[in-house]
Amino acid sequence: MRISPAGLLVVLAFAVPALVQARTVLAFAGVHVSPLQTVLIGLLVLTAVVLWAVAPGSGTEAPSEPNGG
Amino acid sequence: MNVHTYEKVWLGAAMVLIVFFIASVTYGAIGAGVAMVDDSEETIDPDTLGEDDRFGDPRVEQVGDDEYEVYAVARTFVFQPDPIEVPEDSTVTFYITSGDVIHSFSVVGTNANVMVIPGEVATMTVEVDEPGEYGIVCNEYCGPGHHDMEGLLVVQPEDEFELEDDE
Amino acid sequence: MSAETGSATGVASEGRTYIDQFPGEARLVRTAFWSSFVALGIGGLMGLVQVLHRADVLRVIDSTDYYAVLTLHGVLLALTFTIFFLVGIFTWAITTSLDRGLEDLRFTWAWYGLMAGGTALAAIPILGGLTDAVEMSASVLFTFYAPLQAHPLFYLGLALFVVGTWLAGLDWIRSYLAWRRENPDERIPLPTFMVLTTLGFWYLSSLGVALAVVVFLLPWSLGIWEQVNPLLTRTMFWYFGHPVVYFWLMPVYMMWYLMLPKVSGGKLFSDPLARVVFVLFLVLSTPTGIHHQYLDPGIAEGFKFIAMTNTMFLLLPSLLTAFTVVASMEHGARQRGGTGTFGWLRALPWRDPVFTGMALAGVMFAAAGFSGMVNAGMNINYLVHNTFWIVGHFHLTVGTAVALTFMAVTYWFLPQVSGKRLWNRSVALAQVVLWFVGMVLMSNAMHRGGLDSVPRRTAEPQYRGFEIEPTLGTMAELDAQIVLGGTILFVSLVLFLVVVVMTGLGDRVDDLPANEYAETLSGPEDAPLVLDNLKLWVGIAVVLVVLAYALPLAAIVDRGGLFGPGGSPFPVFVGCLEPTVSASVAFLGDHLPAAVSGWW
Ligand code: HEM
Ligand SMILES: [Cu+2]
Ligand SMILES: [Cu+2]
Repeated sequence: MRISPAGLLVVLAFAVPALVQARTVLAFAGVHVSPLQTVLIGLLVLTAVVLWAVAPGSGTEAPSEPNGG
Repeated sequence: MNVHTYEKVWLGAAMVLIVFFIASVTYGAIGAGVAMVDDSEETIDPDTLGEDDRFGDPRVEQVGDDEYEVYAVARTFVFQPDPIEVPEDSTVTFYITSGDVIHSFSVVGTNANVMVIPGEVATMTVEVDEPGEYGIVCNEYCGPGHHDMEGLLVVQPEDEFELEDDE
Repeated sequence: MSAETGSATGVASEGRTYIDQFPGEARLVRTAFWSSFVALGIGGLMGLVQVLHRADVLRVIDSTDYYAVLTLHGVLLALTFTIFFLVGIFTWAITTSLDRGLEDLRFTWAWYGLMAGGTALAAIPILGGLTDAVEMSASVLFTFYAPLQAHPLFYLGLALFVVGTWLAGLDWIRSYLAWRRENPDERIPLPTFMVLTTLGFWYLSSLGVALAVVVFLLPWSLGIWEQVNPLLTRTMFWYFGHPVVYFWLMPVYMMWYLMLPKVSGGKLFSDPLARVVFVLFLVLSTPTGIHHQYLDPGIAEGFKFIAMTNTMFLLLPSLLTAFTVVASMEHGARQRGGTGTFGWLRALPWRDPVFTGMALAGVMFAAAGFSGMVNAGMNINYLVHNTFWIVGHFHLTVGTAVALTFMAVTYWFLPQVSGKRLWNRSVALAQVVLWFVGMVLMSNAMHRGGLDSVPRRTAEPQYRGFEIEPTLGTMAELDAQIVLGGTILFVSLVLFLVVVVMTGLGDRVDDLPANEYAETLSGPEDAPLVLDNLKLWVGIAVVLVVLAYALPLAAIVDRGGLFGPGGSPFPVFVGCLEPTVSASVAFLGDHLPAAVSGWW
């Protein structure tokens, strides 16, 4: 793991507004992406992020989490 | 009080941003002359609109070469007159009031959008160009039939336009 | 904790939880939270009903009843959920930071009872609007614009609720004064400072709505006045309606200043700047309300202009807060070993739902800032006023910045006030992330729909004579996105309630972390003394309010008269107060608080 599972979850969550807003902004610029295309591109991006995260990393493990909350 | 340098920079930038906003809105209001709804009209008794010479008979009236005035009334749950017909390439001033509760008069897809408050007369002036049909919605909740409240603004080609006669 | 910074905020909690320190107050805070969660649950369910109804996916009610549902959603979420949570947090803040209990808990329960009873009174006619069995209704939405007229119980309940909050404020002020007598030379601890400044503008602004209700609307609904001036009562509503936004937001800012740095593992960047921010809110939040009336006839352009200017300056404290929040998080991350320009982000405690929820709420608030700037611009406002854009905007502010922060800190507070361990941290984490994702989807589509003039507050935004054509995509697609987002939100809400209830059902444990809030890098000793001169700031706030409101109000009354230029009430209820109903209502008002606290 390159990042902690919780970190991955948050990165995935952030990908959603990025995708949704990118589509909105592109449409203002005249580039229209259909909902289906967005979903497909989204799945690709999310899969890529997951693969990147679980791939054996360059060794920089995320600092462990001491808090017990 | 010691303020961190970054914080000072941020504070300065924030102030610049705020002043920029105020300046641009001011320019819009004064420089570019985007008129706002204001208090230029007298108040009116919503219960006696029937006797009023403007709103007793909601209508479109020609007041100049390419200038028209619309006297419109919003009441639960209709707009009068409906449809509102005006010719292309003209300047239209709307006078709108309510016969009962608060409504709005909002032309779909444009910024012609104004609150209609009983007792007050809202005015707005709109330049209409292309012929076409525009929906009018009430976007202020006005009672159980609020979602049925709609109207139509029809901009007609010059040669097809004629004012209906009052009988 | 004060030893290190030399600050006066010192609280020797010695590893004890809040319930160990203040068992009686903890019970009150718990009860207030619980009241707030009930409102959140019912309100959220109504939200789902609305989303499905508008999109015509599923209509479980008649469209004419939609507005009763929407009234319930607005009142329960905007007023009940937020303000009950606030009184809980503020009680915690006062007692923790002054390190003393409230002066007299009987008084405390009395104001809680007023708030709960008021809510119950107002809820009865709102619910009555959903059935034909009861001849009562209050489908006037949470803005209750006259001449739409609700059942008198609605106005009465509202007034009692507001009075309850006033007494709550007195309770906290009383604690402060008692503390001040014993500590004449100390700086006001930051959390107490935050409570007091917030109270300053709360009294100032809620007076407006209280007068509107008690002087005009309630007597009018009882038939004592024949008519009211709709523009006047509407202006008085917005005199309160904007500051109330900051009333929701101040406990959130308090959490961002006090808890976020702590859970990030660091310290608050600067105590003095936090004070400056709260003073700015005290001074500026009230003279802005007319920005909700840019499109109203009967108000001169100049007055709208003044409100616009004040509104823009009100951006300042929020921008300063953004700085402090990010700086404090970075400090925490670096304390935890984070490095690099952005690399420190990875060192933040993302596993902790308290942290992640607050951080996501902050991100959404930044986005809301952009749509808010659009709203504040007088001319551009014409495009979006009362469209779905506005709904998209405030689901980012109150619906996320506030609601998500409250839910996130609940995961810290609940163990503190109940002595029980949080039921499941992973579910809690999934919950806050789901809220974020659901809101992104719902709010994005609402904003876009609004730009194309899709109106808000409408059961059926489908029209017979024309169609609303989105500039990008189709209506069906926007609807689908909203339904998806709304459903995810509702799932998140259910998860939240599950975590809360399961935690409540757990057993007391004694190894919970102590009741503490963040220390500061730069403490109150760096803050000029004048900041603590609350009389001065309240005075300035009053002057600004008079400047912004005296002339518009005088002009409205002068033009239309105190009771309006005419016009009959438009009751959205039938029949009148039945003796049996009011008796049962009084019973509920008395017993609900006790029942609720006993249940817990
Ligand atoms: C389950 C989550 C939620 C959903 C699905 C939802 C959905 C909606 C929808 C669709 C509307 C617009 C209805 C219309 O204009 O016709 C609305 C209005 C509103 N919502 Fe929510 N909402 C949710 C949560 C919240 C929360 C947490 C808050 C505040 C804390 C909130 C506050 C409001 C307010 C104040 C209104 C305006 C009511 C009015 O116009 O009178 N909502 N909501
Ligand atoms: Cu309407
Ligand atoms: Cu506002």
